[in-house]
Amino acid sequence: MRSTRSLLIVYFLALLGVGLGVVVILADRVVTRALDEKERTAAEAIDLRTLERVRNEQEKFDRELLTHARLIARIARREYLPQSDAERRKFDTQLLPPSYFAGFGPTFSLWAVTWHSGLAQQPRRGGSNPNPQFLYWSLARSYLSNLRIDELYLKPIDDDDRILDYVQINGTFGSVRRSENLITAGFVLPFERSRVDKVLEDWTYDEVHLPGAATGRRVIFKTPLPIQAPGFDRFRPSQGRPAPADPSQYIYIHVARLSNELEHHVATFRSEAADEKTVLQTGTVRTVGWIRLTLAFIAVLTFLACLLGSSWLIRRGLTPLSRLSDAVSQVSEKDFRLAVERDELTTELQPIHTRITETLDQLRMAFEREKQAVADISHELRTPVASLLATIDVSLRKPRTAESYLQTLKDCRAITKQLSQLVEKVMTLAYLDAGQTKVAQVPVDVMDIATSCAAVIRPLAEAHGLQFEMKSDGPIRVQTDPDKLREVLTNLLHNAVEYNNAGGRVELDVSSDPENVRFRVKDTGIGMTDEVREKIFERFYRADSSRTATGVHAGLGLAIVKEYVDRLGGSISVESEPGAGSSFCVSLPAA
Amino acid sequence: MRVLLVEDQIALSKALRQGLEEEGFAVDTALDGEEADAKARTTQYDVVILDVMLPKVDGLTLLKRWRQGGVSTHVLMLTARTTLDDKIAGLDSGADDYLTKPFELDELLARVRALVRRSHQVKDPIIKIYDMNIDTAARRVTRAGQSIHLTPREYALLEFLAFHRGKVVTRTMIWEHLYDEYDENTSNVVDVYIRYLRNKIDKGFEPALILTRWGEGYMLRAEDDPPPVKEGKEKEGKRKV
Repeated sequence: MRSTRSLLIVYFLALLGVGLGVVVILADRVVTRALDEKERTAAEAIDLRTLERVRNEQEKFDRELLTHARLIARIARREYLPQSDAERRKFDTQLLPPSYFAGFGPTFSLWAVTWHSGLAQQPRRGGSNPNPQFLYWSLARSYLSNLRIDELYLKPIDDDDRILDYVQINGTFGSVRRSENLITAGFVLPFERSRVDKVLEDWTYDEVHLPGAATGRRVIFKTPLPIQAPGFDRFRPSQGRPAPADPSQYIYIHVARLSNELEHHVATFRSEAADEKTVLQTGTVRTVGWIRLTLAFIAVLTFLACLLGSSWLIRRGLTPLSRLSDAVSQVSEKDFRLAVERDELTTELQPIHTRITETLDQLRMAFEREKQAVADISHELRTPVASLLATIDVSLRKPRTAESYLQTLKDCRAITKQLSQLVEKVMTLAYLDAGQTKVAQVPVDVMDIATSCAAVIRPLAEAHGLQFEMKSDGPIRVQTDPDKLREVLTNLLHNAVEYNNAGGRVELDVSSDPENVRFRVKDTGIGMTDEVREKIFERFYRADSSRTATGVHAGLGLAIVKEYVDRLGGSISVESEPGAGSSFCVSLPAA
Repeated sequence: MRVLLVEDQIALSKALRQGLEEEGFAVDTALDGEEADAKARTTQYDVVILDVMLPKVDGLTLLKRWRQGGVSTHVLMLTARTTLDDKIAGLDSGADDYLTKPFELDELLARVRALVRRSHQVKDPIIKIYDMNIDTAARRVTRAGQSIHLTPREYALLEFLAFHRGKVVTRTMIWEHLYDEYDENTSNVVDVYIRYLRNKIDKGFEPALILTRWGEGYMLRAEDDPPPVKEGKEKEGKRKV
């Protein structure tokens, strides 16, 4: 059997466990979610930063390309002048003085060709005759595109002496200038002027294939290159003719660079971001783990604390109960008192205490009654048995005369008769107590019964020198048990005779009304005090113990009378005055 | 030995009285507490057999009253109550012994005898006086190995003298202890019984154990008395041979 305490503790701990579990799981969820959120935000931040770095890197890359392109453009436009002489010289040669193509054989032949074609077409297109300025302009336009720029400016070199850029310059009229690395590789950067012009404002970026099957990024920078041919200003077209369009040509400066550098950076950034994310994730996982560990630790601690606390509290709470329990277990047949005061218990237990006390009181009284009854019965039985035994023992001690034995036998018979009567009464009461006595319901005339009882008592009364009188109203028919009624009346009459004074009277008065039949037995005997009167129906109670000598008066007669009257559904009452006599009244229902 | 039997059950009282008398006790009876009280205060009994449940004054109360009043007679309580508490209550009231009903008559008699011995400060149930042995348990007397048959009254007289051996016992003392209230004989009868006793225990034996102190009473010769006549013993021995 489990104890209430352990049950309570188990229930409490189960509840606590569930509660803690829910709290821990919720806390874990919330924390994990928050951490995930944080991690996600951090990862996004990392992504954003990486993206920005990539973009910055790209922009830087592009800017470098563009810067390079611009530099070349400025150099081409002679806006940038080298400072040192050597540089200037180099730079000068790069510029295209008129003298350069004036004495240049192939140029000249080209000029001739161009002239033919140009002259042949130009006037036709212009719709007028050509003039010498125009011719020159046309020539210049055709040949000034022979771009020369020092290789030095085409190849910025990084710290590792690697040539970074591939440079190509396309002139408007088809001339191409390539940097040495392109030339060496025999590679021409693809250029479609018409397509480029569509998307181009000043510059444009695109992806190109570079030597070595590599991809690179290219900027195409478009810049006008004014022709400063000598005398060009002076030789204007004639009056009346529109001035020729600006003979300035455009050059397209391509600066391409292998994008693997950029990709390398981007990859680095990406891997850095990935590393950071990994670190972040690891951190998060570690934090989650730590938090879980902490939660588990707190849960276990709480659990243990609650285990101890609840054990203590429940023990404390159950103390009154255990005190009551102890007190109840201390109750024995020797001591029926509850060894705990009502006020020492909690209010919930007080009714139980009251109830137990009441029950114990009843039990004690019943037990004492029982003990008393057993003691009384055994006492009543032992005395005659002792007499019997002593009489027989004495008789057997030596041979005796026949008269002596006869006397002994007579004595023994007398004692045995007492004993038998006593046993009979005790048995009657025992049967009554056991509920084994059956009460018959027979229609009888109670007068018959009263008369028959009177017939028995009358000689006895006269033998005691008493006057016996019976009064009645004629036949009274009721349903009752004649044997028990007879027993009751005989008993009462016997007592009336027994406790009477010589020369006294005994009266039996039978009367009836529609509801009850009354039997009144009145004597002029010794009577009894109120104290005695209260106890007269108790078993083994004797008003005067001096009368015990006869043995018949074991104090059971009136107890049996009372029991019988109760069984018959009636009631018995007694009025008495010491010295004046007693009057017992039995009232039975007249049904 | 004189016994007061206090018992309200007439049948029992009658039987016990007969049994005790046949054992040689002088028995007075009382049927209730008051009667017993009166008798115990006026007569020196050797033993009182006292029932607990008595009319008028119960046994325990009576006993306490006696003990407070200096009555030191040995008391055997007799009761139908058998619980330990009852026994304790009885012994604590001053009872010397306790017997519960129903009882064997032999046991009662044995206990009464034991109390008698105790009242005379004798522990050994066999009293030896010279060559005479008195077995107070079996109530047998032998002298020089010969069994001597005594009537209960003769035995009681011898026992009484033996309990007081070496001391003079007056006729009145004998009278008071050997005869009950209803005996109407005078104390002369004591002399008669002394003669019977001498005939049985002293006649033919030496030395004479029952001595007469003229004007005082009788005395049983004490063991430590100087042996009276050496030849007497020899004579006795010779005769035996």
